[in-house]
Amino acid sequence: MPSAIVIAAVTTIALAAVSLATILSWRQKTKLPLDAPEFQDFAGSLAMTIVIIEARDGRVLYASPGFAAMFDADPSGFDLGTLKTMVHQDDMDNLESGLRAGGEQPFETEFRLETKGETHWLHLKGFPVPGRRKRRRIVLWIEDRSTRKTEELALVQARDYEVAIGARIQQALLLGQPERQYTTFQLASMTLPSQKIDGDFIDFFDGGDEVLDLMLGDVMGKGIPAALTGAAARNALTRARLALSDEPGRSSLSVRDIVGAAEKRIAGKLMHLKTFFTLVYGRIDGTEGLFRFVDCGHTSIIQYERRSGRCWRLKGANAPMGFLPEQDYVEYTVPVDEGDLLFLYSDGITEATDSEGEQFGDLRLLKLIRSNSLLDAAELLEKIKQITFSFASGDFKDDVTGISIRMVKKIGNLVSLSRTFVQTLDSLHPIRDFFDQCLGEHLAGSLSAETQDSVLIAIGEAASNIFKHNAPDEHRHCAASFRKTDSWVAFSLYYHGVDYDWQEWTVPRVESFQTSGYGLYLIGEVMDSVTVSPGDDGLVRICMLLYLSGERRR
Amino acid sequence: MTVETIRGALVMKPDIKHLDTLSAGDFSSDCGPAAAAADRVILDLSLVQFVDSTGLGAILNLVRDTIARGARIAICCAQPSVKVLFRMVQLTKLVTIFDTRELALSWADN
Repeated sequence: MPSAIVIAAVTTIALAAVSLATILSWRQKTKLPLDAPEFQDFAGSLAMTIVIIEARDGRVLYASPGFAAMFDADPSGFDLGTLKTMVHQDDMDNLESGLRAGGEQPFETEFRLETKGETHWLHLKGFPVPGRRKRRRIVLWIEDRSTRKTEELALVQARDYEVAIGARIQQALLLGQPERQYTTFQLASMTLPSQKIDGDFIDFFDGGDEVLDLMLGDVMGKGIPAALTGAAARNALTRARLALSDEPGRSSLSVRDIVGAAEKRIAGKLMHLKTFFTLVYGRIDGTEGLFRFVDCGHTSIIQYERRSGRCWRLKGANAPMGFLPEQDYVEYTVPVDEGDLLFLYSDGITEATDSEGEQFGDLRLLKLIRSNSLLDAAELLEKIKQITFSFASGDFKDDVTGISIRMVKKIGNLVSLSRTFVQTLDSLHPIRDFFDQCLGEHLAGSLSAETQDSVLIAIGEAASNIFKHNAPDEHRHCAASFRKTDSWVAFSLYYHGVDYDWQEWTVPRVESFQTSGYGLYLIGEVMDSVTVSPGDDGLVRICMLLYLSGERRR
Repeated sequence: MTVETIRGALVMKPDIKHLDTLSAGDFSSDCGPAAAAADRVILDLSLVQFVDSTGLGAILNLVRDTIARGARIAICCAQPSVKVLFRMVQLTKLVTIFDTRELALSWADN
């Protein structure tokens, strides 16, 4: 029995010895040959190195063979102080703060290392690891990315060069400047080029006295084709204006005529090239106190109206040029007075996008202009530039183009009356009576009785439309405003409600017993211009204007 | 509204100043039944100072219904301000408009 126990014990010890020998032999075989010359050569040839440092003082505890080649230094005795002498001073703060935090959390940074008179771009990833006696250590993975970085920098330089060339093209071919200053209004314009050449164009034409024509266009797409199309569009408009003004016997040159003549020169070509541009062509008349415009699918013009203390979006009804071979351009006119602002802009402003992907938007722009309505034209433009630049962190996808106009003189012989009413149908007759009284007191000698009657019909239709399409609200007020100069009269209604399409009317067919659809037709027939402008806070303004002189829309 | 039959013609005279969004509904409900059996209808607008597009729609409904049942209709005594609207929409393409009631009655006699 004892011999059996001895045999079993000897067998167990022998088996354990064999197992231990096997394990030791296996571990010996799987140990990485870090000191083997072949591995050293291989690791030294890589453009990276792995370094383990003390988090406390940056002392190097281990460095893989690539270290010496990368830092041109022996890792033994290398510490943070040595590193500081080699790192580009502009990158030192970043690197230091990374290393300081690196004992606690992973970090990543990039820095320039200056060795042997050369600059190397190093990319570093750090990972905290526990060390002996609770000391923190950091494993650094350092990669030399100089080649890639050089290529990237070359690309940036090339892009900067392209942007610079694009900016010069825009300045030379697409961006005009006003020829002089005016006493009745201030004027300022700006363009901030985006990262690519764009097709925004602006120009100004002096119309004599206190009259200035201006245009702002935006060509579809980007790059050289857009810039060339923009240059061609600007040229077509300029030449159309010149040709019309040279026509013998022509006494007036309307905004509508100019846009129509430009269309004849360029719309066919645009359609052939399958491109288009949006445009607003306007005319500011500081003496008459009028702003006339034709809008071809462009962003709204914003008008800050001092008398109401609100901003309104002026919008036309025409399609962008190049959409159709021929259009019947509609010209609109709104009164402008001292303290009013007009802002024309490209969608680069409202489509400026922040880091969350949110666009600057129309409403934000409206509120920005309203809250800075006391600034002069140039100051307002600078404010808009700063705010949008900051919103988009300076990264505009589109050109940012804008023109601001501030009226600085009171309009001569202006009669202005206004009254507020409860916004219910009961106010229909009082509103008509208010305008009837205004007409009787201020226009009896200027308008025939028939015209006065037709004006009251149009006003009644406008008021009736407002009350029909918006729920009555005894707690809300609408306002009626009458303004008259020697050359025009404007009837405006301000109301809370929906902004629907007042332009969509057709000539009704009475002979077929059509019993509705007359309202908008009557307004359009009587008035020379009707603009319906949404504002902020759910307000809408309808402004109906009639020329008192011979000038008529049609 | 005053409704009377003169020389066989039904003469309707709305006693409202405004024939518009506010009153057009009442006008239609008064005129429609009153004119339903007449073969000659005269609408006397001498008291109406203002008609808007809704009021015009009510008049056109009356004209359409009257003509549709083979009867005749005319308008008389429209105020100048109302005539302006009728001219703008070319209402005379559909219905004869007389300056006086007598002229309208003479038309109805024939």
